[in-house]
Amino acid sequence: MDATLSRAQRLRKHLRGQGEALVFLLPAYALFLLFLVLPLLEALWLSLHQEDLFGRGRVWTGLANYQKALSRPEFWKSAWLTLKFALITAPLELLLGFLAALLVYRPYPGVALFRTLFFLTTAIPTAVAAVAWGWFLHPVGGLANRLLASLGLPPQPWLTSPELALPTLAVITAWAGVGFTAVLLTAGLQNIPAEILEAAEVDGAGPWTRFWRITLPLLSPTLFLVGLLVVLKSLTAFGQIHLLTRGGPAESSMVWIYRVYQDAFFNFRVPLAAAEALLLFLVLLLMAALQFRLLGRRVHYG
Amino acid sequence: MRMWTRRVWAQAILSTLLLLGGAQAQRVTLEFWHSMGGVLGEATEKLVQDFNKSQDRIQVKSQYVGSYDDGINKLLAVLRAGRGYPHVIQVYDIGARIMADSGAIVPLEDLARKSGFDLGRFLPQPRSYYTVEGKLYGLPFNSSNPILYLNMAAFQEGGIPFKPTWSLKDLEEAARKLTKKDAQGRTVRYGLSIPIDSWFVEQISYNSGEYFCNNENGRKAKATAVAFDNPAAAAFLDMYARLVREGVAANTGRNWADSQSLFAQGQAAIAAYSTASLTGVLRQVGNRFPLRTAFYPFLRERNGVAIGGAALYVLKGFPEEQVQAAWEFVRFLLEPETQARWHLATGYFPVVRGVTELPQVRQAHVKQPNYTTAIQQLATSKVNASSAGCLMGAFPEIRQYVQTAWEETLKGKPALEALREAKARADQALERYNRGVAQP
Repeated sequence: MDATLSRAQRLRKHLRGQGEALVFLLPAYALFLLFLVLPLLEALWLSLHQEDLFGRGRVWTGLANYQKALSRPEFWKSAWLTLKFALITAPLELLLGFLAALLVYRPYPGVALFRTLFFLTTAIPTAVAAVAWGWFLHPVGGLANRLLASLGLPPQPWLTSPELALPTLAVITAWAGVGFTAVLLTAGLQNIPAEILEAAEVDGAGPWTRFWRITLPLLSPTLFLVGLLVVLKSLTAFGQIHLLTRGGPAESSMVWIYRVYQDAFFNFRVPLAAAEALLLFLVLLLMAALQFRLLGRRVHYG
Repeated sequence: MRMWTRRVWAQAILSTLLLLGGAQAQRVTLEFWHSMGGVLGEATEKLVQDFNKSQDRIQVKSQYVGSYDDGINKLLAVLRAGRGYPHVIQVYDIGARIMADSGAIVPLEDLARKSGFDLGRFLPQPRSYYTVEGKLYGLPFNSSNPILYLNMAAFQEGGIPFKPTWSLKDLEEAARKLTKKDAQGRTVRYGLSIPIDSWFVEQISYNSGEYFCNNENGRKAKATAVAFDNPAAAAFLDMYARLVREGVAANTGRNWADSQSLFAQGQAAIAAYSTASLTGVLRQVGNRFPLRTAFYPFLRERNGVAIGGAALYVLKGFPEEQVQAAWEFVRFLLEPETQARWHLATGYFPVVRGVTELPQVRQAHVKQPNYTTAIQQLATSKVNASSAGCLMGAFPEIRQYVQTAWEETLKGKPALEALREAKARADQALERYNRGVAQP
């Protein structure tokens, strides 16, 4: 009895402290509600209906749109392309970000310049980066192919061949994310207590051993978090695809999210597209849950 | 006495209110959504300003709503929401069937007839393009057609004389002759560059007298299937794929700008773009080489091209006086003087008669004869269902399938096979569209 009372009291005290925080959080909550939760609910509502492209004759169809989406071969092709895209983008982005972080996490003269350079890729808006990449990879006059030519190599159809377009887009996406992963991993590396590494050095551990036995295990929470974010980001990459290939050539870069866009805004099948978008949302949600689970179990917290 | 004063006061107030109310009722503000960016956007804003200055009763507020695709999607969104419509909206050529089916617009023909505007003032092709089931629905505002762009320095070098009309066979031969390769066999200058855009497949069909969709391009009755698996479209795609394999034609993907930069730098001798690209391409080319334009190619016999571009539509659901005001704005845009300014600022051609005879237009044409190619091409096109252009729903979706077919041919698939596969998906899309709008 006493225990419950005191628990209630503690809760009340706790809430009183939270009240103030709530006031400050309210604008953020309001925006979150208005721009994320409400559209999500509307998409859910739409996905359970059928209507013509002008929104006339709306009827409740239950899960029919989900059934339809899952029964289309196009959908599975897009899902497969998305997986391929993520499998190239995420490891590459993580690796490049990690290398960049290793180069800049310790202070040395001029480190600020490199930190800025690495973060620049993330600071550049997707649209600007995509246009610049478009010039760089132009099938004939682009710098990339002129560089190849000066090395005596044949030009490559980076974005205009069905074989190369998706990998090229994945590399561009990884490039754009390097700054973001580098910043998070730099913070993670800086959080590793220097004493442990020093102690290990005194005990005779070489740099390789210290990296594998101390740095990497201690960094693993950050690595998992960043890994999760990178995978989720790669599944929702849109701008660069929209600006560079529009899902082509021959639908070789028609990833899931671009399929949603295509179905909603070119094919005018908004309810179907809503169902496809929510299926993607479900996948993202499941993956986030799964990764947090693994995160809790397998990771060293120093 | 007192009573009288009071009555005077009351009357004074009442009449003031009436006057104010009347004045307010007469001043109309119109929303106008358009998709003209860059140079074209500036020209559009200028026309709106000109209209606003030309009278003091109607104020047009124009708003750039993004690309054509964005524009029609914004319209569909407000139609779905049931509020927030503009009075006038610009929608691309291939949205004609969708706009007529929407039931949300006032056919331009009704407005024209009511005010005694003679529809015979329109050139026949723009008029027939936007005519759905015998009625003109939209105002062909910005009208274009496809033309060939020729690098005359390359032509001179290759000893090929200029020609205004081209068959596909001639085009292929010239492209081969104009291609320059280095010692390793790598192409230094391509003979031909055309962006992967369904529009060029549509136009090769029309210009060869074929249809792009059934029921005579959807002009005799509602189109229920596509007809792009025709000999002209197949020959065009096969030729392009063959030339790409030979290193004669460039594959720069779907992005027009990537093909235009190639052409402007002298790395492609012949290209096909819209007449609306002319101002931009001339600017990019600069003094690098003399540029001439020619008619779009055909398979066997030249029939005539259809127009592209976009039309303006007046929306329903507004009070009569606002609809009338919208018509007055539209009518202003059809004045020969306005059409002349628009043509000279953009390269889109005039859609009403009597514009090319105006002195300022004549002068400009003497200075830059390339601007007359599109007009000449239109004037010498046969007027029939083929050159009226295909009218069908689901066109934006179907274009994607045609472009995919084009890309499949570049991978090595025979064009007819690729087009037939695309047709299967396109027919499904069209069938779904027709079923969808039939049962609202």
